[in-house]
Amino acid sequence: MEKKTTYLVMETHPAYAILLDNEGRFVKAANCGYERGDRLESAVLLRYPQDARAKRRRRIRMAVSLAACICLAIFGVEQYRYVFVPYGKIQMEINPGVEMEVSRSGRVVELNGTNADGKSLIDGYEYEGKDRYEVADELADRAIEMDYLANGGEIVITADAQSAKWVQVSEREIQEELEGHLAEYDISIVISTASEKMIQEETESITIPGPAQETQQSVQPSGEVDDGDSGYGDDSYGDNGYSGDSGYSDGDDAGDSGYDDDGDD
Amino acid sequence: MREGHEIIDKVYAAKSDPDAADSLIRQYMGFIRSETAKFLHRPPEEGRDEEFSIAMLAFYESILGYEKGRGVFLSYAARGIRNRLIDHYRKEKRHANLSSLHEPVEDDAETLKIDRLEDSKNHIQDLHDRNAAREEIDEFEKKLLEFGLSFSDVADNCPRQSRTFAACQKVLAAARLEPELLQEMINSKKLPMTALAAASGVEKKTLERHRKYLVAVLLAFTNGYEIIRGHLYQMSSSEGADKREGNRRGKSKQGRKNGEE
Repeated sequence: MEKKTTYLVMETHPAYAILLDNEGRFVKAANCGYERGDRLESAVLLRYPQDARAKRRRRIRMAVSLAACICLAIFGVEQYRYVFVPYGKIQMEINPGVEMEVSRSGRVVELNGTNADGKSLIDGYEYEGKDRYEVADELADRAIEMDYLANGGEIVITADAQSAKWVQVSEREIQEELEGHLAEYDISIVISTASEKMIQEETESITIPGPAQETQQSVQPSGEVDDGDSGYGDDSYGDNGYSGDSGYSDGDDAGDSGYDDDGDD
Repeated sequence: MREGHEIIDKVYAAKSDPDAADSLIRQYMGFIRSETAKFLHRPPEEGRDEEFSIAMLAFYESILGYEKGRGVFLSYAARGIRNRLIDHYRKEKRHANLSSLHEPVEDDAETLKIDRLEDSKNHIQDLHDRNAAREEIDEFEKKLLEFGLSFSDVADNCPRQSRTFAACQKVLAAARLEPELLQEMINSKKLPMTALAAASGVEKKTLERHRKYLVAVLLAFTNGYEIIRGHLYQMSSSEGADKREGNRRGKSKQGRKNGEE
């Protein structure tokens, strides 16, 4: 059971009385008409201003500490994401295909082989803690050592991420890095990026009609009249599966919208 | 302007001098009364309205807390009184469903409920007890003066943090186990800090900081202050409990040691 605090009045002043509580504390309290020697069961105690100030300071300190903790947590999460969370992928197609998952800081967080040769290329390779340039160089070295890459060979770099700028910059930087690194070998290897490859393929597939073809058309015999035949046989179109019937009935129900005219439903 | 400086000087003097504080409070009794009346919407009755006593306490708190940068003293004090009365009102509101003994009885507006209560107290005995307590407190005050201390000094120096208070209680417990330390204090009129720190295990710095309080409380436990000592039964019993607990632990530790041997 909780012991009740009682007070003994030790001294009185107009505004306050000095009391001794039964735990041994000397306290100042409101003097509600007390006299020396009175025993009290309750009192309105004085609040020392320095205690209030200390309390306020403690609250401020706690608030500042809390804010610092929150900032640290936010910064920590951001830093973790910057270093450890995959931001984009970089593929190296040597013939063995390998795919690096790269964080925003450029650190390789995951390395996978995209085919059997790729898996054997990265087998036993330690990529933890290395940046993308170092991994790219070392994988190229391993590919040469394991005879996957030889003179006249090609490496195609493909990057993928939400940011198009990051993709562009990563592809170019890895390309430059590999070009510089492989220059040490006495072999010729073409390093290209996916975008270069795509432009190259597009250039090869587009055929612009040249002046020779136009001349060929203009020297047709004058007696021949174009009968409007395109030159494709009827069969060329094949059967499109349509019989000419639209599928809608031409009968009595033509023009029937399907709604009841009575409108009583 | 000169009046403003004068009051500030008085306030600064009253911060450390209880007599100056009493004099300032008496001088501004009208102001305190008017601030209480503003809150109560009627003039306060001395000895009847607790709010007036609280307003005076708040004025004293304002004296202690005032600094020159806080504007005009009387505005500062008025704010302090109002805030303290609001706090008191809120606290009292929690007991709003209880009826007051100072309310008039239903059938007679002139008679208060307290007047109809049967008084079981023995007033003559109470008076004797109070007189005896007063004499003992007077004696205690004189003894404290020999150490150059007043009750006000002791109250201001009393530890308010529970951890520090517990440390001071530890010092008292150690001193009571070694009565020669109490005797040494009475003879030399000084607190034997080094011996007390060694006996209690409390830092000497803590003892120095609460020297005035420790002198008073140690003095209360010397011979001759039965009423004060009787009032401090909770302190003694809690120490006794601690000591008993300590002895019990010591014995069980010793028992284990013996068993191991």
